[in-house]
Amino acid sequence: MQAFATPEQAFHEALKAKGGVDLGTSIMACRFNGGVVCGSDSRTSTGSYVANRITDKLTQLTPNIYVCRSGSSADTQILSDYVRYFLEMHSLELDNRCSVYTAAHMLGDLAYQYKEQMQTSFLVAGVDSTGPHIFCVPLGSPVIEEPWSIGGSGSSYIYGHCDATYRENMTQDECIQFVTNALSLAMQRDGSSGGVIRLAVMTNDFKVERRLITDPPSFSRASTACKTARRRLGLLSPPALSPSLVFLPRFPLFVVSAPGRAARSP
Amino acid sequence: MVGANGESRYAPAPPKPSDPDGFCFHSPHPEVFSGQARHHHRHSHQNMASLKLQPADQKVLPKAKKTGTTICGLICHREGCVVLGADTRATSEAIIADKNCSKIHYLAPNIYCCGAGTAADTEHVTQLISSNLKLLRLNSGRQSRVDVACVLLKRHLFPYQGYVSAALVLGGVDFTGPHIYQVWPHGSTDSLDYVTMGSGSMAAMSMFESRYSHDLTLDQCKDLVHDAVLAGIFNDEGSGSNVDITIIERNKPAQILRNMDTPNTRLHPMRFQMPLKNTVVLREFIELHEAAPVAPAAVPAPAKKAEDEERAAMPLE
Amino acid sequence: MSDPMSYNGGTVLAMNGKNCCAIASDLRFGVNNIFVGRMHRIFPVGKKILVGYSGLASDCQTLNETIQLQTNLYSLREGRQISPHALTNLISTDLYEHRFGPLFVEPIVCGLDEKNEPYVCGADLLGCLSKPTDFIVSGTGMEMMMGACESFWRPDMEPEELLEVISQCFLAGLDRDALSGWGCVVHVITPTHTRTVYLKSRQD
Repeated sequence: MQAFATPEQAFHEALKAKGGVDLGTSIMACRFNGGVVCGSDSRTSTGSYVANRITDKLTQLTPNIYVCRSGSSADTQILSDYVRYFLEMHSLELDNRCSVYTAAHMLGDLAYQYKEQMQTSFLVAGVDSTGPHIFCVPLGSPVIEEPWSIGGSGSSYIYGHCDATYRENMTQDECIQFVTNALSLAMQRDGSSGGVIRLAVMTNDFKVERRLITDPPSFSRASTACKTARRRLGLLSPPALSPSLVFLPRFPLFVVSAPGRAARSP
Repeated sequence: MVGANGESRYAPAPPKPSDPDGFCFHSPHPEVFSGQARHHHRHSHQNMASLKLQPADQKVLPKAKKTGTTICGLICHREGCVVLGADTRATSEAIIADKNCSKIHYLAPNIYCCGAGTAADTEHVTQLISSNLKLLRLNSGRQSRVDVACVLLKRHLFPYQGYVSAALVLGGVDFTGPHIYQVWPHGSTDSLDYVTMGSGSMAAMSMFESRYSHDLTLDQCKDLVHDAVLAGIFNDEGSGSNVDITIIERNKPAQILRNMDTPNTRLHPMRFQMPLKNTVVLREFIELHEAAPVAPAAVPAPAKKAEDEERAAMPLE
Repeated sequence: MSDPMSYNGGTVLAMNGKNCCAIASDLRFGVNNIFVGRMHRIFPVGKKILVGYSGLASDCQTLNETIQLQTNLYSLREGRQISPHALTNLISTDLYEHRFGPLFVEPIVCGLDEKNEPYVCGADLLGCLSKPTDFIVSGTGMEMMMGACESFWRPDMEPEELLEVISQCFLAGLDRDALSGWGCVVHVITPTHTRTVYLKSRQD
């Protein structure tokens, strides 16, 4: 028997035992004041071998809704393929855009129906006429709406970070930065996550932008030291992003006890 | 009427028809009349020597032929074509079952597919999809698309949950351009520029990771695939023998380079002339193939004596 | 119960020659290590084609009966004999039909095709075909016979030499396989005739 820190890790181990191709994953979605950002790492593994290092785990369900997939690659692909098909039929009947609620519940219902056979965990993110929404469809297939949500084996490492760093009504750029930082942290600590960061930014005017971050910011001390050394040798250009700048902890305790910073209330 | 007297070996005797003459149009067991009886009961194991043979102990499974394999494929972006490569070894545990089998399967004139895993599965899955693609082509009058082949494959594999163990590298060129897909036995797929599968995939991938770029020419791509398969042949025990390559270009027939490189030919084969009439023959029969009925040729060996010899030998052991 | 493939024992070997081919099998029918009786495991499918089966005896017979039925229907429907190529594909699909509860048989087809070219082809128990240019072995003595065949087979053998080579390779293998033996039959198929030979072999 093995003890697992979180259900995500237990899930990940169970999937490895099943012998399938596994999206040992870090996925994340977050709302901002004018839309929603979802992101993921790009690693697909079979055991310890990286089967695909540039996977796209963000699947477009409708023009305004994305799903972040984690779990068994085969299971999540087939479920999202079916949901995309059903939603297309549904929006033809509606003659309008589908709501994120519909998409999430359609996915949740299917995943619940097959929960004994399938190992899936999703984040559904998108914008509809009521604004940006994020639904989490984890193992066992409840459907929960959240302002931000994380999933996959890498998420266990960043709950604290996200709790501490999330703010309501972020701007788009702040939100992208928040998602990028969180995913980078997860990808560095979780062996089953890695590669590049893929993002999808959906705004309230129904525009979608895909981004690829090939050089995620590095936070670990070892890699920072290594990068400093390589920069001194002229092997690396200066980092676009300074770790000290991107870390803006929002602990209320810290703000209160730090003299001269009380003005910046949480 | 087969089986009417209860003597059929293959089907239980149907109950006596209500008509006393034994004549009825609607037999309760229609299959015994149609020759399907054998087919229907074919797998009932009625011929088994002993009922102990019921597969109660499923721990001992017979070995099917596997292709411990190196297969790979890449997209040549510069010339808009696809190169697939495979080794030619088929193994059954430690035995090399086939030294020169072909692992690049035809799906459509513009789509080919390398297979790894259980050999029978790769063979039959590709045959099935190939036939479905042909039907689609006949229906639509259009060239097959690679993504259609990919979806047909994954929709076939997924319900079997990995038990149909076919790991495939699917490659082809259609009007949208060149495509390479990786298809896993569980039914997940990845679309990539370069892909390897099978037990030698790590060796092959090391070549791709170090040398692949978007502006390789077709000749360079061919060399790279060749070297990737060679890396599998020489570094992976499950892969071996020769290199097969298939090149698919737009609006051209696919180039099938079977045994493009044979780095493992037998160096000093023995050309031994076996002495004739050396083996002791007990009995001999000759059956002529000519259409006219000809009496069998005279049997020179004393058949009766030989039989006696055999029979005499039996109880001694 | 042990492996069904070696429950009854038995080996089949087929070889290509020049305008001829040959197939050999032993006659032992056993239950694990116990000798029970003799049985044939090579059967004709029309003229110039023989099919040998190794594996579980009941499944060998079952597959043979299925094949006989289908090839008879084929020749009635088509008005001609089935070609060895079509026959192997038929066997392959028949075996793969039982993918998840297989017939424990490894058949070998040996014959001359329409142009009298030799055709030797084997299938595993799931129906994966392998068509070698030289020879093919299946059954419990496969490991033992393969080495001998690798040494003694050579291209373009005439029927007389082919008979000697296949016999010697087969007898050498029989000597080292406890689950095969008790007699040996060899068929050499040439365009004009099929020569069937019973060899003197060990009876243990």
